[in-house]
Amino acid sequence: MDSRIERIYVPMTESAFYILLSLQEERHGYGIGQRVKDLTEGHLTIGPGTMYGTLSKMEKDGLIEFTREKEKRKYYKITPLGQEVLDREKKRIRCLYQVVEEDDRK
Amino acid sequence: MTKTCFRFFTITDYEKEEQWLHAMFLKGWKLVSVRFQCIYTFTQTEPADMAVRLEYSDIPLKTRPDYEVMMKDYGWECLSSGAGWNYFARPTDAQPVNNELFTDDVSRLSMIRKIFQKRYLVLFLVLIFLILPAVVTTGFEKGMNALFIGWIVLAGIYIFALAYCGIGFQKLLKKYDLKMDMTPSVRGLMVCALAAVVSILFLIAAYLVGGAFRDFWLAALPWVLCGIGLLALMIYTTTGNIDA
Repeated sequence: MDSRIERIYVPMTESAFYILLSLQEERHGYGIGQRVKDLTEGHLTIGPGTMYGTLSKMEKDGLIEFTREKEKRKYYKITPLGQEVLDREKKRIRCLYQVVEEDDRK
Repeated sequence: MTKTCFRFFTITDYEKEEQWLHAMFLKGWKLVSVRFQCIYTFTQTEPADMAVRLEYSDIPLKTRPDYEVMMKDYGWECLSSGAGWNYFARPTDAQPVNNELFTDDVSRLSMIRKIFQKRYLVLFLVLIFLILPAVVTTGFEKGMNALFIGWIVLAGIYIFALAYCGIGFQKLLKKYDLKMDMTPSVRGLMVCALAAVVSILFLIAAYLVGGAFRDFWLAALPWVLCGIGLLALMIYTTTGNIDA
């Protein structure tokens, strides 16, 4: 992972994390939004402007790739680089969670 | 039945524009087209509570069919698209977050920065390379002349507009708690523009005082100031951030 990607995506915004997580399966923009709503039980809504902008940026940075187009909708999927970035973020979150858990137990 | 209105909204007053279009919907008027950014055409429709949102994007909507279909999926209809601005509307949802196009700081700042770079900074160049030279060359003529007055008035209106939008940007950034980082070249450009404004004010003062001020050095002053500004800009971009 080069330093530029690290600077931008570590740590990630909440929306970016959920988008990247959802794209471990091939999805299109609106489908990602629905998936994120399900995962967060309706707590996180990603607007279409934000969704499109994030997808474009992630595609440009090589974290996701365009797979196919169906009825004008573009489908995306995570790339190996994207998976690397996601795993790094998951590790950070796990660490954070452990610290919170320990603190709660006190 | 259609009707056409003339309204002018600045580049930083798009939220006011959204509210106005929403109010029009409540009265039963749906936006059909926007021409020259001030001529609005509406068609009569059932009064409805519609959320209207503007998006500034340098890429035309027509070249992004995937974006258009994504907006439709989210419930947004495109009312008008042109000159970089896209107008979207959807039935107002009970949850406020569903009535927004942008839901995080990064994307919100991205749009504001786009407007700043593509619509605002350009105006500085017009001030420095068109208005200022015009003020200088017409002012160089001896005696009160209408052309000089005309350019001064235009410069005044122009500088007011720049200041108004500058404050508008500040208000938007503050509202959403955002920070826009300026590259050195942008800062340099603003220094030059400030030099241009100072020169124009100096010229007005000199003209009002009259007399021997109308000479070579007076005419040269604005260019000297701009030269200093450009020099500062060059130093910034070469020794400061390479990423101009």
